[in-house]
Amino acid sequence: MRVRLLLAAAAALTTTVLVACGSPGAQDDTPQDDEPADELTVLVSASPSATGLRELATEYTAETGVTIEFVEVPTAQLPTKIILAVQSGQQTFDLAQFDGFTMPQIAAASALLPLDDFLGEDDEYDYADFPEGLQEYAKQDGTTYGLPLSTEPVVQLYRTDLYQQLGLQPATTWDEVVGNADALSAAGHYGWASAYGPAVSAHYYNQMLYSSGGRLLDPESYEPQFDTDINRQVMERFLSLVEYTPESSRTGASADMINAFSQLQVGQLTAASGWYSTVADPSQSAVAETFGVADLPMESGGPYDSINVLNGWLLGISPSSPHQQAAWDFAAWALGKDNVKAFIDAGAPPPARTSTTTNDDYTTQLPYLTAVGTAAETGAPIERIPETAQIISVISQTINSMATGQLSLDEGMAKIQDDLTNILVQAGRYGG
Amino acid sequence: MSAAPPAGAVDVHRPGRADTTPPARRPRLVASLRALGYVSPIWVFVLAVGIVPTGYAVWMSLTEQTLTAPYPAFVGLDNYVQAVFTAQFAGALGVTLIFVLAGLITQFVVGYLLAVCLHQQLRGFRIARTILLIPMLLTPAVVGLTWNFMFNPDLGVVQAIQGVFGIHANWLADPTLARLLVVMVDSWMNVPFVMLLVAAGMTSLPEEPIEAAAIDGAGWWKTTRYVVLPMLRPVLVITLLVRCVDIARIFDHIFTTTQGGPGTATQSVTLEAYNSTFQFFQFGHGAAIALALALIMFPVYFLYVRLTKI
Repeated sequence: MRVRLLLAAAAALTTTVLVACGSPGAQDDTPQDDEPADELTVLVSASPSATGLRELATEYTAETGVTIEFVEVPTAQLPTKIILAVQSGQQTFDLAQFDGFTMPQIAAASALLPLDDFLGEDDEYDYADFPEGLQEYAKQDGTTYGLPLSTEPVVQLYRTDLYQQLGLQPATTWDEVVGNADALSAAGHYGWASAYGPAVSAHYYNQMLYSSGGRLLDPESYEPQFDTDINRQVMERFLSLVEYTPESSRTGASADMINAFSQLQVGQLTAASGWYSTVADPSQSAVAETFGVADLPMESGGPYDSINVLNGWLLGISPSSPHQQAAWDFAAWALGKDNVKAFIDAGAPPPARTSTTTNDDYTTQLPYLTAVGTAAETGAPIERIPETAQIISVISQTINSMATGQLSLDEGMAKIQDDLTNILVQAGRYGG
Repeated sequence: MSAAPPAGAVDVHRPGRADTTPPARRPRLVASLRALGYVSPIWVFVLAVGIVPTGYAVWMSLTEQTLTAPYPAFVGLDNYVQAVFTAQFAGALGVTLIFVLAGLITQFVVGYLLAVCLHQQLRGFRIARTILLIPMLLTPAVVGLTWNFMFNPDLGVVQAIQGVFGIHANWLADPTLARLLVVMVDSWMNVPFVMLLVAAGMTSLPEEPIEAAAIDGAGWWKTTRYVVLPMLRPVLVITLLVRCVDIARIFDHIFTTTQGGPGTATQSVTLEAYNSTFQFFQFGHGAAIALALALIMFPVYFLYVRLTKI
């Protein structure tokens, strides 16, 4: 009898707790009443952009008396922290740095405050100074969720000393990239470096695909495109460059690739422009004085426009922050026109305002800014759907399998097509 | 002869009383309630750290919980169909089993041999024991990152050593070597644990059977095989079960050394659950994968409980 009683009590308690746990409170979408702020908390990830923000924060505190507290989170955990903080109803941050690539997930979880009203009312921030492509980059389904903290389209980095020795020119097409890789390799150097690792390789394949007029998914129907000629040709070319790549990049991440370029005899690579400051820093790079920057190679002939893939950090505001106006004031001030130089001096890639990328002083200091300006005008992000992270993961793992000889090109392409179809059908985004 | 009512019993025949409790029940009830008061803290603890989280995980695995559907909808076994009964899960399970088998063999052979050496109490054994225990005290993520750098195919020390012998192998690009690397990292960290338990077991063994075996002419191997190992069996089995469960949950070393690669060659079930939950935010899938692993490991838990008589 006692056992039964105990069991019944335990069951009742468990059920109650489970029901309570299973019924999350409704997300309060109404704007919070603003309280006067004497401190703001900003979630950041270690990056030159975060360093730039930190340096500006000191000046902001001196001017306004508002203290800016920075909480550093590993890049991969940023979306999780932002989402869980807001969904749990615990106010742990007022502002957060996030990657445009993760915006679909964060916005779908209602973990970011729409900023369109603030933008409409703040003339000083001058949002019209940003190219339209970049304004689109900060939007999800037509709503702006972040202010551009950095603009990092893909640029080409090459070794000026090696190119001079061998009489090479920076490539303007992907065929020329392969040609340069051949010449560099014949001279005993690494002809190429791209990260073919299981977590990131899809990003580098995408650079080549989108700039060759291909897409991962059909923009209208979301049908995976890995059974098309253009995707196959690009994949074949992408994998053909593995033999010119240092071993550490064949299985590594972006940092391994940049490390290889900075420390080894690698002739060329393409990377997000944000890596420029790392390669140009003599304390981290042996090639700081001997590398140049050029536009991303482009190919025509694909079914879609050939474009540069836009990357970059955004700065958003928590919908549960009690200091939303104060958070906006800091963000708009820090990322305003007057502080561009402070970002550049801190080694951070600045947000690509038109007034920045056309400023001679700035482009002299950061030679890649001209290429950034072009890319910001014409570039676009990859597909912005919540399944993107899963799609990137599947493609990256499969590319890594092909790059390390576990799968043939045919097997790999078929696997990606099947896996992506399953993901999109399960999500109800594609009819199959 | 009439029995006197027990102390504290209530006279149910007294007029005006509606209490029908039998005479002997009330003290028992009071005693039971008192006992319940004593055990309730542990029940609350068990509920809080065991039953509720497990129940919540079961609930999550039966509902669709994603970022776009934060209000859970009951979907029955759909999450299991989509995330567990798949070739991908089977592959991850296979990888996990490889880690468990290879890890157990490595850690027990090396751990046992080290324990034997320690048991001999040769000169300097105390210093050796301290040094051997250091890996166990380190943070798994730091260990993983260190090994990853050591095995960097361009700049790592292992590459340099291999080069001296004319060997060229990229440990992170070859599926077999990458799995071996994960097993090595895990073993390096956990051999001291096995060594410690086995060495402790050895100190409690009686000397007589070992001396008798020696008098009978048994060599080291026969003594070990027929005398020492049977006597150590309880310690070995418990250690084996603990390590088995631990290796099945392997995550940090993979995450920091191979990231599941090359391809999915080192993608364990826990990494799969992590990706589903924290990378793709498919909480239902993640819960289903984690529970499937728990169910698969259930016989091991059962054995552990039986053997330790908890």
